[in-house]
Amino acid sequence: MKHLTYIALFVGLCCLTIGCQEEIDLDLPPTDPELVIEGYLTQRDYYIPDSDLDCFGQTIIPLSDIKLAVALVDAFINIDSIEAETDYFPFNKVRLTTTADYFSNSAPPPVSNASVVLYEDGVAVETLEEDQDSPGTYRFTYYPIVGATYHLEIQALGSFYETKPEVYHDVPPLLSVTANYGPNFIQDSCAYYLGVQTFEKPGSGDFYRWMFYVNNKYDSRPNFIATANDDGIDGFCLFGLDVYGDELELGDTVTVFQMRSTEAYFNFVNTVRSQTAFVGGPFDGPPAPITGNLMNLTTNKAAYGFFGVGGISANAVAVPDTIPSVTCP
Amino acid sequence: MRLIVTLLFSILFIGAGIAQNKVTISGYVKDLETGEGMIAATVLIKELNAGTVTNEYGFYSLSVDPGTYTVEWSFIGFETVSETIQLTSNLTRNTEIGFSQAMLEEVVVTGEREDEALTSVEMSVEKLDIAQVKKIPQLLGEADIIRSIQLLPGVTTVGEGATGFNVRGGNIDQNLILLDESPVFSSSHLFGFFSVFNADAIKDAKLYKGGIPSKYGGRLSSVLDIRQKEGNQKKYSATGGLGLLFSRLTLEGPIVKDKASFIVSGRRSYFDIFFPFAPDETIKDSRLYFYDLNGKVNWTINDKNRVFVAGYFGDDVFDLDGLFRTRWGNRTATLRWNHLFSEKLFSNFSAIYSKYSYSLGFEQDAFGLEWKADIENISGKADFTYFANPNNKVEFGFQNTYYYFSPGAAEAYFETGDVRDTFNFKVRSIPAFESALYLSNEQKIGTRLTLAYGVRYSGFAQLGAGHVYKYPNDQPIDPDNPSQNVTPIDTIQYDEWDIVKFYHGIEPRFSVNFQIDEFSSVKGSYNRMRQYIHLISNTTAATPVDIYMPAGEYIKPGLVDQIGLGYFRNFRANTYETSVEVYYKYFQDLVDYKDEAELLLNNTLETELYTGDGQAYGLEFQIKRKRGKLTGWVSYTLSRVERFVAEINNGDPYPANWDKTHDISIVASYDITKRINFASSFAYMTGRPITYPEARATFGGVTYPIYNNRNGARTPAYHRLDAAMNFNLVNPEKKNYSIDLATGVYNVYGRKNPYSIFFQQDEDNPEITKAFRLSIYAIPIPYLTINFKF
Repeated sequence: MKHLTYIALFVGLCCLTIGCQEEIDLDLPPTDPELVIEGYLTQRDYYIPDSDLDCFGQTIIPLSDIKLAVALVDAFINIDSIEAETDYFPFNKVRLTTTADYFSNSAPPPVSNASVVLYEDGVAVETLEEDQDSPGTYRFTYYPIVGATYHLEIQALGSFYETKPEVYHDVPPLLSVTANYGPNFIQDSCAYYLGVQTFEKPGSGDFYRWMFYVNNKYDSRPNFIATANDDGIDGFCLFGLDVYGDELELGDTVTVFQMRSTEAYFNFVNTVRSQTAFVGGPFDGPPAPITGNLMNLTTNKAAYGFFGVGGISANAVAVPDTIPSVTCP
Repeated sequence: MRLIVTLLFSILFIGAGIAQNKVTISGYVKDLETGEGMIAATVLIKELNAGTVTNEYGFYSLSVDPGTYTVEWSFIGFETVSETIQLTSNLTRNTEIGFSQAMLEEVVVTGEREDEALTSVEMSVEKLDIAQVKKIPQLLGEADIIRSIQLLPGVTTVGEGATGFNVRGGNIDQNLILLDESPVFSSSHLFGFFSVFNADAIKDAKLYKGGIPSKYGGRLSSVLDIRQKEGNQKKYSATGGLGLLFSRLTLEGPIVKDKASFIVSGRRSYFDIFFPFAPDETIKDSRLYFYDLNGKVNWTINDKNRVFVAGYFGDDVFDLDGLFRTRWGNRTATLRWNHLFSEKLFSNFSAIYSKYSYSLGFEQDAFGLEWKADIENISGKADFTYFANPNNKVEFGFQNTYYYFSPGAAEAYFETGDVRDTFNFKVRSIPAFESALYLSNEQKIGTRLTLAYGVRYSGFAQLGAGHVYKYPNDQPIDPDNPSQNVTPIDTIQYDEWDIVKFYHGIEPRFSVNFQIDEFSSVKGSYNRMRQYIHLISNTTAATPVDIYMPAGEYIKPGLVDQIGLGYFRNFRANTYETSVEVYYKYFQDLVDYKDEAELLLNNTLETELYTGDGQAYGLEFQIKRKRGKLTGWVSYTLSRVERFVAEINNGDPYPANWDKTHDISIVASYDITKRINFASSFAYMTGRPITYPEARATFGGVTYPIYNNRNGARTPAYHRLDAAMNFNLVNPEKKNYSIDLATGVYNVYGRKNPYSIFFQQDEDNPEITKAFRLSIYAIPIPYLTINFKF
């Protein structure tokens, strides 16, 4: 964090102006609402290698250890039960809302009584039921198949919508999650930082996202949207990788979801992050439309949000209550 | 082709005129005090009412029938030298002219003949007088050519502190900035807060916004031709200034009196002098500064030969004790040889070197990265001026430039325990070659009509060694889904010196001046320009570490056609100068960018770029007061700049970031006494285009803005008032030196001009969304500088 402070100091010196930024009131014209979709069809469909995992010849992870870790994860983390304990859980359901005026400053309006149909390789396989306890939420009960293509067709708000097809991929398992004491990638102060133990599926063109829950509370800060593709790390063992980046508080429990996604979903969440987290600097790029995969076929215009598919793996770690008696390097 | 034939016939016609029995008077006009060649001094033969002006080196040539004539050499603010000469054969006459005592009390706005704006065939040209630039109130009191240019009609900037300047709708990379003929790729220090040009070392600066002469090329929108001083040939002198955050010193003098001289000028900021007093060890060992070093030597070998060597070095340095560092800077060097083949044929041969290099780096405990890029070029050019007769001046020449683009190389390391892994990544370096030939003639027809017509032919070849990726249907952008990444399907390898891609074309240039009467004239111009290199920058304001890329297989050269029309009128014996100009420009093949484009360290950069067209049009009005205690100008520009890119904004036109509908500047300087001067400037501009969100949506607990209309709104208007007082503490008329105290305030009333407006959700409650304004220099900034001259 200290380094970031220095860079901020540098920018401040350049500005010379002292207090560059302040909140202002702005009038923006009202707009008509449009449909927004958020959903992720998933299961614990893991990619398990056929043999022992060779990590650059330095470490060999026996296949039996991988299978044991996967079994422990599945026994320890019940994804289905997490939903009840958390404030936000996007998996195996579709949430339909509408856009709102930018300064409306209230929860997004839900869209009820919509018709939502899931298609697998072009064939309707399920009509989703709306959750009576959560208006605007439509639940899947269907189990996806690795390699199949999925899309949704939706009747809502007097229009017909369709999502672009997404291919369902399996995910390498999150073998373990650790809390490591020391400096991390971008911060030189010592603290507990997250480390994930996983590996990348051989073959280029893989995309991942991680989601973080601290004491079952989802960390929705946009600058902590964590994604990666396998450019330069294709087939690598990823041990101790801090995909979170923030300090972990003593005694917290951190649950991590590792999601395999498509490139379109990867680009979408990255754009959400860049357009919300990293703005306000003098060298920003132009604001970009955040294009999802929902299309309003009635108006032939893009609607908003994203329906994604892909396997997930979860794991958790309890951060120790005390700081270890080691010298911070 | 028809144009070339016409030109050749014209030259032949001129040649026929030469065959007649004419005599030529030629030579240099120099400043009596310093021996410097005077640019645009007037030489007039009274009996014929025929004259000419000196060129960039102070040279003139006039061919007339034999006879006895009264010849006058003059320059505004200087005593006119008049002599009756019997011209029976060719005559070389070098003349020195000195300050006019009668004019000393008056402030000179432009260093040219009084009615130059009326009589010259050039239009859309702004000549900056360095003395006037030094009086304009500036940030921290640092006389700044680039910031002064921004007060001229037709010149805008994206925002306070933005790098570079925009001329008549052009991007900042469309300005050809020449320092003693060397191209300067970044004109700014500290991200755009100060220009790289030390005013103490500059003799002359001229900005061409339109009607660009044939001898210039390679950029679409403007030429800023800056000439450094040559050094005092008469005596040694020192000029400098001590400021709160900058100091500068210039030394000049004769090496051999009236034969050879030198000038060395340096400037350094010292923001970081307080760092050692910081309690924090990291800040103690940090550095933050910029510096410039200008130098020039010239040697008059004889009446026919003169040699110049000029150079510039400048850097910006920020080093946070190695944890984070960035550095960028220009290097230029010029070797010039002026040679007179005859009294009528002046030539200049130049060898030019220029390099702009920049780097970023940081080191953490277990990770480090160093990124470097540069653009380097070596150029040879020859320019000839043939003074055929008083009515025709022919210019021709050629230039060859070898470029070497290094768009980026990075070295990163990771340490795990005692193991250190190093990774290198390099974007292919690209050699290229640009050549140009030009031919033009300035022709006077009668006493009222002057034409300047010419043509430039330019070619550009991107060279091997290297590779070019091939894409499906030869398109790096999928037209059906332009935002989707396209993957190369093949690679074509090129050997060293293979031509990867060649572009070429003709660039016609034309200007006309019709002098209605003694006080007014109308002018028109047309020019076509080609630009073969592009600045790749997708940020609101360009950064010093943006890369340059040449035209190639997928990146086309830009092209612009510009027409202009103007009416010029002077009042009260040229005390007031007014002008109204209108212009229209159509741009082709401009580079634009995908949303979220990855521009650094990208070997498939073409998959991130769109190509589009654009247009700019406007009206510029200016009134100048050139003499008297009160001098200055008022300018107003009404303009529009639009881009058309099929893949952006649903293909609808959108305004460029630097589109400012109204732009008003008022600059005034008033001599309260002979030794006290007050100056002030006021600028008002329509707010810059910006994209506001139409609505918002929620995804993953994040409330995000929905943008659909690129640059569909505008920031609030920009306005700023600056004021300065200059006190002459030691009278140079009584002492051999002078000391001035310059003080002032930048942004007098502390206007919080928005640089940008951005939108974010509340940190604690994502359902609350807010708008924020980023302002630069949002408070009054005072300054105090001591200037001296010995």
